[in-house]
Amino acid sequence: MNLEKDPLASNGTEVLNVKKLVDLFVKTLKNIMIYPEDNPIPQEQKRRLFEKLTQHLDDYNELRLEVRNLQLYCKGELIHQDHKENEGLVYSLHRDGISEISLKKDLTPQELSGLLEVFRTGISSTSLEDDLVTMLWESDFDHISYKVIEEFLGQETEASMLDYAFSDFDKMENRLGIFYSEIDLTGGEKSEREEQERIRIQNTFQNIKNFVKDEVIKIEKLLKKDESYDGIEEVLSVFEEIFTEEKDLPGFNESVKVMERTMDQLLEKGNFRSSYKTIQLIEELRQTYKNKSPQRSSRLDEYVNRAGDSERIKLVSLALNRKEKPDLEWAKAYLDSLRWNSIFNILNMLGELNTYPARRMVCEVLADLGKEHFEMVARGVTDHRWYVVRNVVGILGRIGNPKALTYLKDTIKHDELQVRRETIRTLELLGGSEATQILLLALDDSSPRIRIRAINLLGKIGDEKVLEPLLKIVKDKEFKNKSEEEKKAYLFALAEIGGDQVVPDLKKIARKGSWLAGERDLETKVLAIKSLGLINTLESHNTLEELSRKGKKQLRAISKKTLERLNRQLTKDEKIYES
Amino acid sequence: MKAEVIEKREKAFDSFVLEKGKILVKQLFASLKTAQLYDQNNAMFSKQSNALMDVVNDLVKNEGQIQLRFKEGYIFLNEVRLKFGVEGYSASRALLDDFPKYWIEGLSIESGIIQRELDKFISLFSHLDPEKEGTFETVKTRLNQVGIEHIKLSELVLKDEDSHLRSREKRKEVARKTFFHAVAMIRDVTGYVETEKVVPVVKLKRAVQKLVDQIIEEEETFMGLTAIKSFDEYTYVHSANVCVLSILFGLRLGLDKKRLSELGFAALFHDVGKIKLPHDLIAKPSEFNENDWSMIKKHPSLGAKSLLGIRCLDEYSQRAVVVAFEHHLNLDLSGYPELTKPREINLFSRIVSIADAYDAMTSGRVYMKTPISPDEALRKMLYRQGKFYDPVLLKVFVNVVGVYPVGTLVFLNTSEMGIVLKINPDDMVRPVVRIIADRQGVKKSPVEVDLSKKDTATDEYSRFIVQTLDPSRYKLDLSKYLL
Repeated sequence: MNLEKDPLASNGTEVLNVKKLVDLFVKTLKNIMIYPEDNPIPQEQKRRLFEKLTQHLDDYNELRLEVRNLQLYCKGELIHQDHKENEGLVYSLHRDGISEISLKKDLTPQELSGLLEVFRTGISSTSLEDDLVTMLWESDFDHISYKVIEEFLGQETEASMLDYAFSDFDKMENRLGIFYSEIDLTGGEKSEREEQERIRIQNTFQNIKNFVKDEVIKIEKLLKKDESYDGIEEVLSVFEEIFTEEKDLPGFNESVKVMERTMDQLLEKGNFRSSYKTIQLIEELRQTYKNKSPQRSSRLDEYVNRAGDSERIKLVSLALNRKEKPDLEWAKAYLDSLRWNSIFNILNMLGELNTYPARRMVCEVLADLGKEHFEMVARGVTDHRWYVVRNVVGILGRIGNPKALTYLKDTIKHDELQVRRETIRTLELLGGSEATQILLLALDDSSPRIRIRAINLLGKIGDEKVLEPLLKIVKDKEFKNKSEEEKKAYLFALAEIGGDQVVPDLKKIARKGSWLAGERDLETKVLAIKSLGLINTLESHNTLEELSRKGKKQLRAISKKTLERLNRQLTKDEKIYES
Repeated sequence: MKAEVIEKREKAFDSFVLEKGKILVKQLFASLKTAQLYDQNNAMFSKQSNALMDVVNDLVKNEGQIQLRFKEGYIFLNEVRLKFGVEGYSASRALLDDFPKYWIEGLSIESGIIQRELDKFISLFSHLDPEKEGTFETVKTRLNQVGIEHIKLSELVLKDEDSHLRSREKRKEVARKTFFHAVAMIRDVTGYVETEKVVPVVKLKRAVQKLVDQIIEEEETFMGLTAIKSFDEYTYVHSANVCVLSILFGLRLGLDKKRLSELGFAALFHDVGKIKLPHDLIAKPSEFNENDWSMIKKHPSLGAKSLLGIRCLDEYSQRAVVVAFEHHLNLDLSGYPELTKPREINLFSRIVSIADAYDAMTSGRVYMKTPISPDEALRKMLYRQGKFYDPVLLKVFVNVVGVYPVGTLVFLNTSEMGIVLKINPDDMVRPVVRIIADRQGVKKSPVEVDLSKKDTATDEYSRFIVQTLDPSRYKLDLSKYLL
């Protein structure tokens, strides 16, 4: 019997296994790209992938994949292809010129994590600087190798350099002859000279090969320090020197232009910390030149103004949207350092940002800027995008300027519910009797939630001027048809604002109607009794007592219960007072 | 077992192996070196071998066995790649050179080994002659003959596609091509910067990365390449030389590959500001006057500005900007450009500054119109240490290039003329030299001699260096002998 394995069949098993592994790899990669770092789903998948890969590598020593166009091959068999063109794993490998990638036995979990990270960054990156090859190379994996299609710049230097070297080669013999004739020294002189030379060299280079402990420590310190090297900080300090070095204005202006370009790159990358530091440096320089050179100071002024123009703010938006974890703290610092002329552009940003934390950060910036330039920020309420208007309304609340009420008169009638809701929230922050006039406008809002919030807020503000319009609604025959919650809001608000003034009205409601009144009427009466309980004055007590003796049994019971509750509360308060 | 647990264990394991591995390599090298001079009964031999046994025991106890592999310029211990800084670097390079001479890819030391067996191995291996016993089978047989059972050798087997590349000559050729590509690249990029075109940063990075890979494998070849000075392409060749020297320097300091490539990239562009100066000034054959100097002193700032203009402010460019600006600032902040605020010169700038000064002195073009010999250049630099150069870094640099760097043309006590091929890390004033001429004339077939080897009969050095010579004076084609 032939016990030898059929090579084709054996290959087939291997290829099939590779196919499964690549599928799992792609799936894991997708999950890593979707889920946050600490999510258990990609973690678990990564663990499984490592187990299966290790098993495969133990069996076959290597997993080698060839990249052909947008397809992956193993041993000549198609293993995987991207579903969409211009994105995905194979596309990225092909784009960056990787023709082969192989994983070898003894692959470590760190290496697998590193590889996934390289792909995660490489696939999602739009940067022209770091491609997969650079990232793989820098990762320097021991058990992962790859082949790249070479592409070199210039080709002709070698020939031209060597031409020089060979040109005079024939003359070498003659020149050596001259040399030997020049050094025809006598033996004695020669040995003396040799000795001197030897001593000189020894003196200079003695102990050169051995490093004492202090020297090793010094080297280690230098290396350690370099690990925390901050390139941008250094670049900025270079800029500072360059500016000072520029003696003529055109040179100075050229340097400012270069710095502007640099900042564009920083913003594009989402490096807000460095962008902020750049602005700070420019501001410092501007101060320095203020009296010394008005022209230079004015050019720097222009720089700061440009830092907040629509183009730069657009770069900030794009970076905030692109980055998985944008540095919001430094982004805020950058935006905070801008001038009033950037307000309109920053307002516009609100409509561009994808994430809530980023929008919240921009709102904070605008709230700060709006303290000085309120009208500019408030103008945002006219934006055509409702979500921008909502945010601006919120910002107005944070600023706390009563002037905002002028703008809220419009937003309380906005088509979008969320804008109206935000308006109520802002009115709550602003408070005051002027806010009540706007809240009254919300009482006929189409949304019961808005109406109820407005009524509750009116009750909270407690302005007696609104009693009349509220009572008018309560006394209307349609009132009973409102929802229980809304009716409750109205009646409680009346109690809160009016106190004894509204006791007769509430009493009237509680007793109004026939014995045959329906459920809705009964509901209103119960709520009126409870509102009387809220007032908690002698008059309201007397009224409740009266109601507990007369009328429908059910209402009597509720009145009694309310009264008891009030008494209990009273006793408790007394006890507290006595103690 | 969970992946995180495996990762944690592996990390702990790695740090133990890394630490002990460095000691193992240093001690193996020291033992082999000592064994070349002293026999097994000598106290010096025992001292080194006992220390080697200690670290072997530590590793065997913890790991069960020791597997050392010498591969592609790296040493692996139990599959963990060892990393070396100034300490142990020479030892690692020497072992990486020695073992493949006998077609040995690795050796494993198994549990049960005793001191006597280890001594036998050290003694045997240190006296092998690659000329006579340069095959794997011979070494293996010799080991069996003396009864070494717990040390096993593994053979260096080259794959078909690799064997062609791995041959010494082929590797040199690849190295040479990579070097000249770097030269071509800097020339092309200069054009891009001059015309403010978009610089292909990705391609540049890849080229530097390739250079780093090649330098790790072929240190000596690259050292030799830096000794070739070109007149026509001076600026570009100088930049490539400084790049290679800086990478070699960084390698000795133990920088990882990423930082090595950042360093190489920065070094390659350190002089980019010169393209903004008039060509006549750079090529001026006579000494610079005051006006010339005031122009020349602008090139660091111009370079920094040019690099900022390539519109790619990643870590590589950031480093390059700073190095371009600082490479003429001395350690005591003298030099140029003149500063408004005190600053600490960055590590990369310190490295490039040393490599730049060395190459400029030995090329003799822009600042010093007449070149000086490498050893003279180093002497001058050592004289200026502390003020101009960081003393400890300069010391590392001398260890990298040697007292007589590769490519130095030397005149020997025997009236022979030779070119330094390789430095002896243990005895830097006695390198390996290729004798190219004597009083009878140019040698048709040059011979290689190791100046550190004593004459067995007299126990004295038969050849030593008397002085260094300027190869350009004899229009000597160093590439013919070095590459």
